[in-house]
Amino acid sequence: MMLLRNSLRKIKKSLGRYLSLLIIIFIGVLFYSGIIESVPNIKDVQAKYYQESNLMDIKLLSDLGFLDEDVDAIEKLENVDLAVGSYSKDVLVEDDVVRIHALLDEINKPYLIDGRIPSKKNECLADANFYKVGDKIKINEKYTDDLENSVYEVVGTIYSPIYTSDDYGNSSIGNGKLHSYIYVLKDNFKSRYYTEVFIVALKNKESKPYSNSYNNSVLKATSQLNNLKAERLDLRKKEMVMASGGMISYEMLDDCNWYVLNRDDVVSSYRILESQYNQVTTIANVIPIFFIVIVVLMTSNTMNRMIIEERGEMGALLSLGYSNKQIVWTYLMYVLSATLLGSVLGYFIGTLTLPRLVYNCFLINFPDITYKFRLPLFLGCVLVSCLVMIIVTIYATLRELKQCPANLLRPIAPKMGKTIFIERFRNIWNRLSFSSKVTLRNISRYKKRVIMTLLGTAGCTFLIMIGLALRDSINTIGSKQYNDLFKYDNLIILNDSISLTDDLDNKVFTDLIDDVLYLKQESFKAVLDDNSLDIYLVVPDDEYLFEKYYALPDVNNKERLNLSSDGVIITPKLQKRFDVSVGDYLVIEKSDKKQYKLKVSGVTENYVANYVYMSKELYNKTFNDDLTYNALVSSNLMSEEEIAVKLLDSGKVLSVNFSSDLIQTANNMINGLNEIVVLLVIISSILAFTVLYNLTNINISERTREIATLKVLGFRDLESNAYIYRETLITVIVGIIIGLLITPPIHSLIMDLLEVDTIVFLRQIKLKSYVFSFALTLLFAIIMQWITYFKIKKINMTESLKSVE
Amino acid sequence: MAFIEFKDVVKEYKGSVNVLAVDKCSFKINKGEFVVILGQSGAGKTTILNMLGGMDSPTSGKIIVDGKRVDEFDYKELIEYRRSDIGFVFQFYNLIANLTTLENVELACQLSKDAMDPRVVLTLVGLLDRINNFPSQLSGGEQQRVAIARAIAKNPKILLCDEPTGALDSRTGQMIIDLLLKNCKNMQMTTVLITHNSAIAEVADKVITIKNGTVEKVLINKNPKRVEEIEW
Repeated sequence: MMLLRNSLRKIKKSLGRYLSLLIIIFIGVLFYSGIIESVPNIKDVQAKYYQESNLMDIKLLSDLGFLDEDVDAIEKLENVDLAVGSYSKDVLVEDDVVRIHALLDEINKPYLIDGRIPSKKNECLADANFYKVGDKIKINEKYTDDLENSVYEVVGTIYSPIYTSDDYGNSSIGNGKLHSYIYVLKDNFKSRYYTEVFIVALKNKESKPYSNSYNNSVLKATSQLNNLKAERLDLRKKEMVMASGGMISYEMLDDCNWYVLNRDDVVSSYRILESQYNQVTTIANVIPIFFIVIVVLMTSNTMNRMIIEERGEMGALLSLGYSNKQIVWTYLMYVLSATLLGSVLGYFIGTLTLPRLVYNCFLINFPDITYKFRLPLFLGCVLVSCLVMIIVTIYATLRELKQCPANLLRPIAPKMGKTIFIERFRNIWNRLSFSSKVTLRNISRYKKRVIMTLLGTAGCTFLIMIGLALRDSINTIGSKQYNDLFKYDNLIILNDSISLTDDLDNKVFTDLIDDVLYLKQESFKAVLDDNSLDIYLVVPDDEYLFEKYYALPDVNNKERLNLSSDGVIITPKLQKRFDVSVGDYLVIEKSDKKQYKLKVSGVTENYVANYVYMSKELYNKTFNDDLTYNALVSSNLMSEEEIAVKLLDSGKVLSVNFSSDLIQTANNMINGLNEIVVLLVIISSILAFTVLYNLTNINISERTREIATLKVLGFRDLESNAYIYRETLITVIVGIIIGLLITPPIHSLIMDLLEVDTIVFLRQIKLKSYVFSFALTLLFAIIMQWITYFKIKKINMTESLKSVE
Repeated sequence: MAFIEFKDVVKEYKGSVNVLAVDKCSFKINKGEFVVILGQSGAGKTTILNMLGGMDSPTSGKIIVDGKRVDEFDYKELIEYRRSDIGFVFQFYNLIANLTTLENVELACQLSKDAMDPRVVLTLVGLLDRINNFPSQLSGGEQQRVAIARAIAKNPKILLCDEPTGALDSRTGQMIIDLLLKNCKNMQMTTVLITHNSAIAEVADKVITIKNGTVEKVLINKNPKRVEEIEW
């Protein structure tokens, strides 16, 4: 009972220390639990949203449309849970492309933000990002033929599970960019056949988005759909021939096909989200380790200090006849109450705030995040913190208690001064100024504290810099690829392949684009054993223009590479993955499984996707085929808007991709990352502060007598401050340098983890990031120096007169 | 005119209970005198020493040292006063554990423009052979001699000693007193020593007895005893 009261007194007496213990644990657990919890929490929101809206797994398109019989046949497939025929149509509203979807009860149900579900044919649900209830949407007349209405009233605003990022994808009308979407009642569409079929694959409970189990069930359904394709297409073709009354022959429909799309293709941000999850998870796996180390070191240091300060009391209790166990308990109660309070508070505040913050960084249109309490994580955090603290306390206490009580009642013998290593070199030592001698001595005397300061500041610098470095690496890819390497303004995919001997109708292009380079761009798979990588084979028509639009620098010496007739130029990922270099052979496989062997004549710098560049001559030799062109790159002569509208209108062009848009898309991918960098900087700042503050406090408390003596001797404030803080400042600077040095290799390691098949990240870190991390950490040290200054100023000189406790 | 003069000095510590530590205390000390301030613990002698040493300011009254009003000094002037005019010897030596004997003295020499050579001072206190030792390698008496060397190396006007023999045995204590006395006479360094040990008082030129925060009596020793004659 007395001991409990003693524990409580201790808390009251040393509230500062108690709080600093509590705060360190609090911060440690807060960040650990918060960051660890972020991705699972957001994934939960995503999974729940997809489940509630019953988001499609597969979208089926056909050149011929679908009939009810097709839908029925699809639904009967073993691995298909649900198939719903539906309609959609891209229309223009003013100049913007808007997609009209049929509102379905069973599938892709939108999330209602405001208003109600439509009950009349001229009512609609509209994208909450652009419309509000009561708006009237008037559709451009050109697009109203197979719709019942041309004006729709917005009666509800929604988020659609299909459009979850701010990039909605492309369209083949207007300026080629999908601007927004609306949902109308199904019977608004007059068409006899469905334009698309949405399919839910047969899944089990474990089939969370992105999981293997999910991917497998989609794969199974996809392969069954592919098997069904021939039969259904045949029936549909026959039916169409019949219906046309001989106008259409069966052969004319030869090219018609089914297209099986999955969420990667249909759901905007589905793929980007996965890579963002990976980014955050990687960060979440690296950083907490560092926090744990810091927390353990800091708390053990604080406890050690406390126990040393109180050894007299421990001696008194021992001599009164209290057992070791009882004494250890007084300290355990002190520590455990702080640990429990700190870790419980840390867990709740961490898991309540950080996932929300990270979630907001992602810029996705999901329903709001919901809090989920995870008992295992909670118990893990609390128990591990307690366990660590119990070990630290028992170790420190028992070490002191091993001595006999009489020894404990005597003050601890001050640590012996020692000659340090440098002193052996008398020449150097004698030439040092007095203050540098003192500093060197102190650094070697307070090794533990110096090491912790090093660790704290190195860690802080590392955290700030890794954030900035991640951003550097990812930020620049878009402009590197589409500005520096690909110098064209647009990449246009043609509707039909052409050979240049064809009578090209160039009128469509003149006035719009200039310096047209025709290309053959075809998808292949590079293969070796079980390994494969998707690539584009690019064959340019014109050498001169190819040189203008493709920089093609050698990956090592940056010199321009040229196409030749005996080899291809590949990109670095291929080189790495298949271990092929100049002179080796690369095998690529066409969609029809035919394989081709290509000799590598160069490796060029590349960041997005994988390319194999080949000359016309080599193409003819390899494929024994006349070269036709299906794409072109060129320079803009008009505004991008005009080019897109006119080219798509011409019917000769399938899509127009502007480099500026591609850069934008690449940048969007890392939008969230910027916020996470800010988060990292804040976390590391708080960390640096806590660590430095704690260490400074311990430093001053250990050396109060020394400081008071200096003041009596007549040291001015700045002099005593320098005497005490100089060593810290030097340590901090060394710590920062260590931080700057360890970041690049770790950064490179993280980038390896983050890279996906189609992206190469830059490994280089900008000078700006080095400078910023250095300056920011140093700023913290200087602020701490100020705090030290005032603390030293407050120390009473009479401390020096007191007897040694 | 006296070198040091306390005139009606009052020191009151304010708090939940006001404590009158020093009450209307007046005395004079001449240059080169060896003065003992004698009193039981709690009598207020440490407070007097603090005020004389520039570590604390009086609530009222005048403190004049070498013609200057120390009681009117501000924070910065007090630092400069401690730096150049005062040498301080502590009961528990307060050497910097991390510095060698020589460096401990050098530490003080850095502060004063007309400081003595550290080695000369250490010769004076008889420790030239221990200059590279750390405090923990020295005996209590040796440590106190380093502390004295550190205090006089600054060449201060006044040497203040707070129970300098309090932590030492009687024989070592005698050696320390002897050292202080010789230094006082040789260098003409005014020395003020506070103690509760009346035996030490017998070697002083002047003994100021403090009781309940005020001067009870001032005794001038016409014939101070020699150190060898006293014992405690």
